[in-house]
Amino acid sequence: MLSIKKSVRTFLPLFLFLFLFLNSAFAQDVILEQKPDPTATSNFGANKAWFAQITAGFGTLVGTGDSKLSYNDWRSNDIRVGIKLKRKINGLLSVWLEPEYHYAAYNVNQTEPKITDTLFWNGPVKHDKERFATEGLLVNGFLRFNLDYKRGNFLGYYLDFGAGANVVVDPEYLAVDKKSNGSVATTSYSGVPYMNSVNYNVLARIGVNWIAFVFNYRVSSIFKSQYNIPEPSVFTAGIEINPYGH
Amino acid sequence: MLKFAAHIMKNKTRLILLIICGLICKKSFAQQKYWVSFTIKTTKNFDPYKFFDPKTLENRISAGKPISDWYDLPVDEAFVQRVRKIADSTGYASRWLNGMAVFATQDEIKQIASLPFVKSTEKMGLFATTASLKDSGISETKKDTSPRSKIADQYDGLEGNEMAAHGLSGKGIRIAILDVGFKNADKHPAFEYLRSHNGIVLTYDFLHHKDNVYGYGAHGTAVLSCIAGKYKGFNIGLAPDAEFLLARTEREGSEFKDEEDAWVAASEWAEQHGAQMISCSLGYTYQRYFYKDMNGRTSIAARGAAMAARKGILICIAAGNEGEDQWKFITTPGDCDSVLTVGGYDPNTGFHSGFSSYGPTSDGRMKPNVIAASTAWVATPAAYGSEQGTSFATPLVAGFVACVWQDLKGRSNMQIMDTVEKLSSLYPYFDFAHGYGIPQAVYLFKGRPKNDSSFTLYEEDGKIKISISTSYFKDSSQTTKKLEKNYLYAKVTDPDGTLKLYDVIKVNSQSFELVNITNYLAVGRFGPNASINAEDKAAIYPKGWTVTVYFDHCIRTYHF
Repeated sequence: MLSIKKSVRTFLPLFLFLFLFLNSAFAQDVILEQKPDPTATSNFGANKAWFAQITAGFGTLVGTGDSKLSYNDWRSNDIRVGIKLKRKINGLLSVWLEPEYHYAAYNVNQTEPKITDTLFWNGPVKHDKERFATEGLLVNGFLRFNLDYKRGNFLGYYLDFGAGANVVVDPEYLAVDKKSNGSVATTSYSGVPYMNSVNYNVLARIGVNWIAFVFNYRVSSIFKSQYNIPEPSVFTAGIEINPYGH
Repeated sequence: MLKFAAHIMKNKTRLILLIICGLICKKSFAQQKYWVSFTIKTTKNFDPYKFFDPKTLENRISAGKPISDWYDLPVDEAFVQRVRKIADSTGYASRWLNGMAVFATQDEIKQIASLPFVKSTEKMGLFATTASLKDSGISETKKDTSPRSKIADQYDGLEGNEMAAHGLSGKGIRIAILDVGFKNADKHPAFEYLRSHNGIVLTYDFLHHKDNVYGYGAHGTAVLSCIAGKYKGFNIGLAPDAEFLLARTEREGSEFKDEEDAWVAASEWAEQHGAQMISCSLGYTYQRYFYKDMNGRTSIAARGAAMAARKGILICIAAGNEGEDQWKFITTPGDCDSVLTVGGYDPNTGFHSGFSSYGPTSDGRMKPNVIAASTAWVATPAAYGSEQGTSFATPLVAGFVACVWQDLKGRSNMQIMDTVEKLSSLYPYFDFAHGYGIPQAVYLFKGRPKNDSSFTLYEEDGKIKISISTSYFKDSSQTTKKLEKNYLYAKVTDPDGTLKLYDVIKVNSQSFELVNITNYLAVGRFGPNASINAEDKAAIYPKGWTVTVYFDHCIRTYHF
């Protein structure tokens, strides 16, 4: 009983306070409130000072690489997912930074003897699939040129020119073999030593609002020179989706 | 790069990719849209009696306006032909704005600008518009599913029965509807009555230059039904006896570039053919403009709307459905000061629908002007359905306006607009969500109820307080009336009269403090980053500021 009385003494003021507060608060229920300020406009938007949007791209190798090793260019893809960050300079020009997760696969054709036969295997082997791949962080910086100067708050038509660096976090090798009994054997190596940890590219992009075509030209080697591994094509072409740009 | 190009050319698929890119390049960089204004008109021998519908002349005489003025003269055809020789393609020419839309390259527009008769060239947005609509089914919360109950909210909200009881149905009023298309309106049973009295006077598709507007989008069908449709014998809107001009000025769900000048062209066409009103549930936002452009003077459509108003047309424009979007504010041409911009309220709650665009205009003018139910039972291409949007509130108000004009024949468009505002539920109180509230037909016939004793508004120890009279709570019928379902409207204006804060409050007891308003006046009005010396009472005291409260037809103002 003593403890109950103590509790009552302790909490009575609180109960009284809550009663008075709630009585006042529940006397009204503000169901709509607006503080209009037509002069206060946001600096964030597709055609405003600052803008950010998510981006996803898919590309394929275009062209043949070093003739010593044939890469299947249409099955050699890269996938990019990231964000684009914009700083507007004026209606025609803006600067963008684009950090992205980047996965690139270079599929090796099985039509002729390959260097991979000696790098990973003990002789010529034909695989159902064989590829080098890189996973990493790609950071592109580019200038965007718009021609529709007096457009509203949307991206509009644009041309981008820029350059970027791809920091390879995980260089990989993978081979897939289907056996006669129907089972599939996958051989993969992570952290293979033959690939450079950073490679560089220049890019051009043409787009309208949420969709763009991207062309990349790689200016550095995928593979370390001392291993004499033939390089895939330096060109990549792809498509890119950029939602929330109207 | 040459190696790259050569390789691409060898492969058909890559060539297709290149062609797509090329097309984008061509589309994006070859042409831009411009509005070209001319200096003069040289047209002579203009005969207004041949050019205008007799009803237009009747409207002008009735409004005390001249039969014809400079703005009626057509754009000089020689100017148009000269521009057409330079530009890739051209859009509509406007008599009112004495100019035309052109699609031209930069070189071409430079040539056009240098022509001696060209006053100015203005860049227009390349991207087109979206109709101001929000089509979505709503949950049926009512158990009563009778045909009458379907249209009860939208019809009774404006007290349509009062109009009908006084024989007002828009008869003799000619209304133009500008929309994306009127699919099946020529066959739909909702318009059987309208067709029976030849209520559709004229149609024109400004995008395909032909008369048939009954294909394409169905948004216009729904809009038309909100003025003159019928559902199982019941009126969906208030003006089934009005006459209509139907104009297609917009493509639905696509982005083309000729719609805003089509809007102006359709307005001119409507006025030429005797329209007294335009009901338009289309709006233009970020595709072309920023909020700062919503000043009633920037967009081509707003300038066209202003000219239409000068010509005596009363224009009902949807406020837009941007209230919950980044844009938030009204759309153009709803920013024009001489149009009746219509917002929406939710019939279930009785106050502002979240999606209905807010005012003010970017130069601080009050918008929307009035509101109506933003959930409506409408004609759809196949049958009927429930739709949401200020698109439907607008024609509902247009029907109301037609009835008022029928009753007050001889008044000008601006007088009727002023009357409709005064007939609205909150008048003279307004805020940027509700305007003056919901137009009420009963006020037209019986006047506004006078009530100056519902509550008292006072300051006590720096707190703004309300005390509602005991008599209010004795009459329970008042507590359930539409918008006033115990709602109290309160706003704060600064010494310049600028509206700084407004609330809608559901009242639960007889006496209480307006806590939010007290707090705003105490500290909030300095903004979130202002440093306030709490000791400085003189700075805290909101001298010159005003609190205005509306409740139960009673308005009280407290001046600091």
